[in-house]
Amino acid sequence: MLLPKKIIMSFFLLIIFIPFFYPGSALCGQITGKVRVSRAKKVQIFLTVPAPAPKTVILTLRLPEGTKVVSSTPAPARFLPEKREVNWLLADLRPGQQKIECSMNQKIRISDLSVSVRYKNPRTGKMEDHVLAR
Amino acid sequence: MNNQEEGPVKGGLQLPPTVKLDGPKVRKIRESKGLTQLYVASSVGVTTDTISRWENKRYPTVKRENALKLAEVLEVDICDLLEEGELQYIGVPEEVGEEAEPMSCRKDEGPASGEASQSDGTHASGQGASAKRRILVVLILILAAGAAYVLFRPHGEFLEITATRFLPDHSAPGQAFPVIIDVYVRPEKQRTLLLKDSADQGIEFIKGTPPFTSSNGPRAKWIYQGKLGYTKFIYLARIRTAARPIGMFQFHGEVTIREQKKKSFLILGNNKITAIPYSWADINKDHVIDDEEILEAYDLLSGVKAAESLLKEVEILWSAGGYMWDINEKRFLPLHESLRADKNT
Repeated sequence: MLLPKKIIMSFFLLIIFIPFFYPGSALCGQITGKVRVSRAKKVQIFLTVPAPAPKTVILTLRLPEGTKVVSSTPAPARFLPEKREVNWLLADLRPGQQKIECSMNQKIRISDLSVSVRYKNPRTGKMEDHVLAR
Repeated sequence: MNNQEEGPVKGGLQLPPTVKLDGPKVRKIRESKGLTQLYVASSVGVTTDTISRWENKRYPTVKRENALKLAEVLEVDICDLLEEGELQYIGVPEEVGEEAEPMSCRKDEGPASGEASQSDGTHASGQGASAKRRILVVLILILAAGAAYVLFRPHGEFLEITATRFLPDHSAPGQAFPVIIDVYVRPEKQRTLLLKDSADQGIEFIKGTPPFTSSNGPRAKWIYQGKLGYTKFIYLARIRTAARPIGMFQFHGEVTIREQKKKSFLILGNNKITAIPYSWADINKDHVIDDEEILEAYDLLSGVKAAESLLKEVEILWSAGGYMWDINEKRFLPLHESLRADKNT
């Protein structure tokens, strides 16, 4: 009875994970990432860039009202005050991890931030626009 | 069994002590020569019954001496009297193999001279030798085919070249725009390539990556040496401000590779640009460089040294969230600058 159980389990695992590896899959070749707020004023964004890497990525950080970016590495490409958005234009990306660090003028909570990325997926040729943290 | 026991050698043919006769054939030969069974029997030294049995194949196996005598009486070669298949078991001793005459009466593919006969007296397999010979023939044929291919193959490989030009749909007079020519050559190897691109009067070529070998107004030429596979030629051009403010300009060019003889290919892809006061990166002409458009521009030109300043200009327009065309200064004003200019006026 043990063998059929194992086979059934493997089958279900395959069914679950196949979509992740399918070339046309929405999950395939996507940038993933995580956001961390440290010492209350410092925001760190870690992006995991897949291979093949998109050439350029627009990273958007939406801030709560009254919050401003004091310093950032790398420097942001633009700030849209009416949208309270900071954009980074990350060019010549390589597969692996990218770190973006910025300091704010006031204390913030991670739940106040929204981080998203926009880029052309080199696998599908389509624009990707997804939220990393909200 | 040794060679001594193998019996007499006739014309290079060694007979075993007993052989199998082909009865109907013996009868046919005898009758064709008009000989009676009695005459043949007395000449061979056997009874007429024996001859009759031989002919009716009742006693197909006969003594070697009787078979030889019978052949002598019938005035034929012993081979002509033997049963089909019998010859396969008849060998030629190694020591006489080279001197022996080849067997002329062989019916089947028998053992080759000196090849199939074994010194311990056992009969070699004719089929084995035949298989070896066939393999040898096949190998020779394969080698011959290979040699023929090497000697007579068409000189030079099949050369595949495609050259495609990317040209923006539009650009404003006086503003630089990029032109990208992707050249794809197969098979990939060290070659010399001549690339020529030209445009209608009113277009000016600025600088290229790799640098132009020569350029003059709306004409540029590259002589490029290197391992050609997929190669990108990028240059900046502009529509002269003195040129017609709204109008269309055409591009044309070709790639030439010398391989035994000269081969030229036309550059395909976009070949028209319109002079209108919109940024070349503003694809939908809405006075805004949106995210998709800036990503498109970066995908095209990121990492190209000659296009760094061009990309920076587009980035400024994107950052501003919009732009206007300054008709007097013939340049784009980012939205915040244009608002300031409006306030001043």
